[in-house]
Amino acid sequence: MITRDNYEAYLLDKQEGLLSEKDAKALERFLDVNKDLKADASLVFDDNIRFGYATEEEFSDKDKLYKPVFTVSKWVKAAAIVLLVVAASYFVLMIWDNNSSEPQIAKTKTEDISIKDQSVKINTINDTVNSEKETVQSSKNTSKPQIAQPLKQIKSEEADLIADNTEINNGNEEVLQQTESEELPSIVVYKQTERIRSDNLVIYKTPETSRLKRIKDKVTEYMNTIRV
Amino acid sequence: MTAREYNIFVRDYSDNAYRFAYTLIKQREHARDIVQDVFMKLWEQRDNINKDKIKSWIFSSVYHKAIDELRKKKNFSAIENIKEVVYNDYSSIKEDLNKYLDCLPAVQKSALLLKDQEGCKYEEISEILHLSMQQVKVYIFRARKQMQQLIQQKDNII
Repeated sequence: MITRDNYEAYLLDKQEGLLSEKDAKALERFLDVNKDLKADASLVFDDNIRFGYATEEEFSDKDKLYKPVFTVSKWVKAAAIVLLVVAASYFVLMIWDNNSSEPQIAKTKTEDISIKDQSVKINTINDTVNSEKETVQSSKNTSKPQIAQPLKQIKSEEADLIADNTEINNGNEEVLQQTESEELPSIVVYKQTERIRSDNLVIYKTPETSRLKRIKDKVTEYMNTIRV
Repeated sequence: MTAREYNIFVRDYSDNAYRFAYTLIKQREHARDIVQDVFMKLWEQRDNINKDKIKSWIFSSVYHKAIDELRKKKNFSAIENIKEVVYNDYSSIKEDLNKYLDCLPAVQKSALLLKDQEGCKYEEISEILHLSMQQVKVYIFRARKQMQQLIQQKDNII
């Protein structure tokens, strides 16, 4: 609604060609009623007359307002991308290499366990040999003095720990022979350890188990013979 | 808003923001402080301000800070009253315009400056001054009418 307080806004719109047809008719009716305001309607403002600022000075502290802008050239960007790719490739290769390499720690532990088992078994054999030696010694003291010779050979066997090629000659006298060249110390046995790899599982198959069993069997057989 | 965009706004608007502030309060140091504060606030709130309305935001902030400054100094006449204009017969039209402008209340003065110097649309001016669009047009019409009469008077004298 056009009033005496806002009619200037409609007059300004009319001067600037922004007044709608409907508003133009409403303004005309308003001015017909308020004839003292008709003089304002005839005003035409000069577009060349403009109000200006009281100063032409520039803002002197502009430099304090600027924020630093970091610009990166195309070459620096390219170098950064190449560096990133190289680093990523190295990282991937490192991971892949770690996954594909042998589990050294596990192997060492297996070896340790294997050696420990070996020494336990050897100790067991030693104990057996010692106990048998005592038995032989006691039987030597009683009825069979000729057993002294085999006992020396048992000692030799004891020193070597492993006597793979012991032979038992069962006659009137029990003679134990040993072939010197075929000594099989535990370390040698261990070196013959065969590694079987299947996927990520590493199995160590050691031939010494069967050999020790054979030795043990032979000693047992020998002892049985002595008892007989 | 990036630093680069912010710097462009500083380059494009800081000078006129300073002139606008100075025209309202007529004190250089205070006008500088106002512009400095406004741009610092713009940077702090850069993510919350619509980029398309940065100019309106800057001039609105300057206007309201200038009004606060006038209130602090209890210069209420500059805010509300129209002073009597004393014309000098030998002054130029530009000088007369400035005299007349100084006699207007801050809100009318601002409306005219934003229209004539910044080329703002009425909608933008209403946003900046927190007035209705109709009120802005009324202020501008009255100011131009007075100016027209002033020029006619001078022509008649000469």
